[in-house]
Amino acid sequence: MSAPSHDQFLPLFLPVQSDLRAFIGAAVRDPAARDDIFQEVAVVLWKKFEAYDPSRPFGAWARGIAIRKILEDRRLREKSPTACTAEQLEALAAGFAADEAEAPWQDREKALNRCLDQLPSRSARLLRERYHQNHSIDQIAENEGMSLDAIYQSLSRLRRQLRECVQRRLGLAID
Amino acid sequence: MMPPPADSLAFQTVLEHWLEETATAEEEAQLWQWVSESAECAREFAAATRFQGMLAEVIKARDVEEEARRVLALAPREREPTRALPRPAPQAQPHPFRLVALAAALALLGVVTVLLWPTPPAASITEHRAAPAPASTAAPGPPSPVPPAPALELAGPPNPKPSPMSLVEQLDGFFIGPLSMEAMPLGQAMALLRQLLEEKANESTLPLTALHVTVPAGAMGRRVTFHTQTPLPFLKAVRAIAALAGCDVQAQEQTIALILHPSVFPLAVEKKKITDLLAGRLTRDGTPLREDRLRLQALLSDAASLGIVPAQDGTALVSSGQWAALLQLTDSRDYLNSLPLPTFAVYRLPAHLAPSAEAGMLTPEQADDFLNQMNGLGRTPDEIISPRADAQDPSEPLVLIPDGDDFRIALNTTDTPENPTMNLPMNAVGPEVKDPYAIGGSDKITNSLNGAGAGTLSLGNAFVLPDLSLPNTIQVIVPVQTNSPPP
Repeated sequence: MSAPSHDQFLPLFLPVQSDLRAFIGAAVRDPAARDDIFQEVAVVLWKKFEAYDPSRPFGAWARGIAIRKILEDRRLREKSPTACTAEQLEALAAGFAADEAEAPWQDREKALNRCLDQLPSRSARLLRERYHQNHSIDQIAENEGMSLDAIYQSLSRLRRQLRECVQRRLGLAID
Repeated sequence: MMPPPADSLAFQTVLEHWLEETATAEEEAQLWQWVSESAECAREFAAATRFQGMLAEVIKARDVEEEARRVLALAPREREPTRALPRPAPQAQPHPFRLVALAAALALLGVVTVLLWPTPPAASITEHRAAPAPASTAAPGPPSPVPPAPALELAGPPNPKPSPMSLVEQLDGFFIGPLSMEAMPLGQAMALLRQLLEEKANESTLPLTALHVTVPAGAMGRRVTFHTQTPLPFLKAVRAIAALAGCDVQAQEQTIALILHPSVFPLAVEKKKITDLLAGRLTRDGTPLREDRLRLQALLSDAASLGIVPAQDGTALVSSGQWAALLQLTDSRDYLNSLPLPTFAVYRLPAHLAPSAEAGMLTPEQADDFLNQMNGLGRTPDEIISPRADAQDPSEPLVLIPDGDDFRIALNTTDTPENPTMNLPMNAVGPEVKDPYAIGGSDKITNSLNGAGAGTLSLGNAFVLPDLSLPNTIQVIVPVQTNSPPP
């Protein structure tokens, strides 16, 4: 196995960085801690890049390093009594690998854009409030003059519909 | 108990709660248990979180594009008066004039610039900051026992005269918070900088309503990733981000214009020696910065924040944008190095002589009384310290944090081998500050040092903390004067 050179790093890292962020986000709920860990992982990936085996998927290698960083993170251990264990993170990584194998992130992103184009304006507004403006369910309920439960159900339904729409566009089986 | 099927109501309910951040600790623990016991549940959890992450990214990106389109649509209105002018008859128009008019029209079409004022609503911007982050529902932090520190007395007059400097010159020394942007379109990045500036600036001293920042339409959607804890003045931040997006910057009076750099984007990389950026630069005492350990570390840290990691020989593959951004970060540290900074006296005293301090801090009056008391006793300071602002020294007990045109002081609680005794006792007098440059990281134990940049500093708050080097000893750290910048 020949060691990869650093000029191969970005072409491998850029396509998986969103996925890596999602993986870290699945294990770490505090957004600031997520960002810190993501940056630390990115630096480690760069520094250890020569140890990367190009015959393995880069995303899986990155998640392995992310697991170690998540476990190392002092804040997670100190602040979250339900912090996940190494075994649980490994199981999550396996889940990510399986989902990644089904369709690459970029393909899903394109499909999602198409699906979002078809959304009614009110649904789009709800998603914007939740995911762009980071409003809480309470805030959205107040803004929309609806009950908490109604907003909760609407967002849940929208996520499900969008996921199914993406699956359909990619020709994947719908769960 | 066997884990439920991934499509079961039990699993989906807990998963939904988790996605909406409303899961209880028990639900969260249950979810992780099922994930570790069932590949199917792990797969569903992964798929749901991947999808949620993608959804958030895509929605943000779409909103930015929509905002850019909306702003672009407004631009032509500014040219309406010229369209209202009576047009001369075609046969009467000299040929060269028509060519000039055509060229001007093409230039207007080709280089559509966008006025980024007023900024988009704050809510659409602030979430891109790495911190302060919304509190985690799973682990809310305990409230800090330290009350907000009272501000020091201002050294300057209450109504400052208008600065003789132009607005953009002022903005070249006005520090905004640390920056965190991930694949953010340039137009939105500029709006974010503006938002950060507005949060810190006072309209009476900085006439921001007059500030115009223009971005070429062709670069609005270029995405920029830039995470830095290094304090940056507004204009240097604009230059750094513009460079990463392949743009040059022209700044004059009240206008900052980004101009598309005539190069292919994304930018090509070339091999450079990082330490070349420090060539010819000196510390306050005249030492070449290339030999200054702290600045070398700071340079490497800045480089890493831009995704640049040098090889053993000090070279790295760097794009022109990364290089220009790193130059701005380095210039920013040099600017900090040139400012007059406060000096602090350290008194080490037996614990029973400790002045009465609330949450480890003395008010300016108490600090004054303390100094008078020390003078009366004929005590001289045990140590005089001058914290650096251009690079943090982990062995110093204090750090200076530039903030707008002021400095804030924070106790240095960085966990380093060089300073092992400074961690636990700090927790006794204030919250730990892992990285004092982190947004909000030190708000609760900081002072304002207005006037530091003007060359004078009034006596202000002092810190009282245990001194672990000797038993039953405390140390009192009092600001005493302002260092003059090197000639």
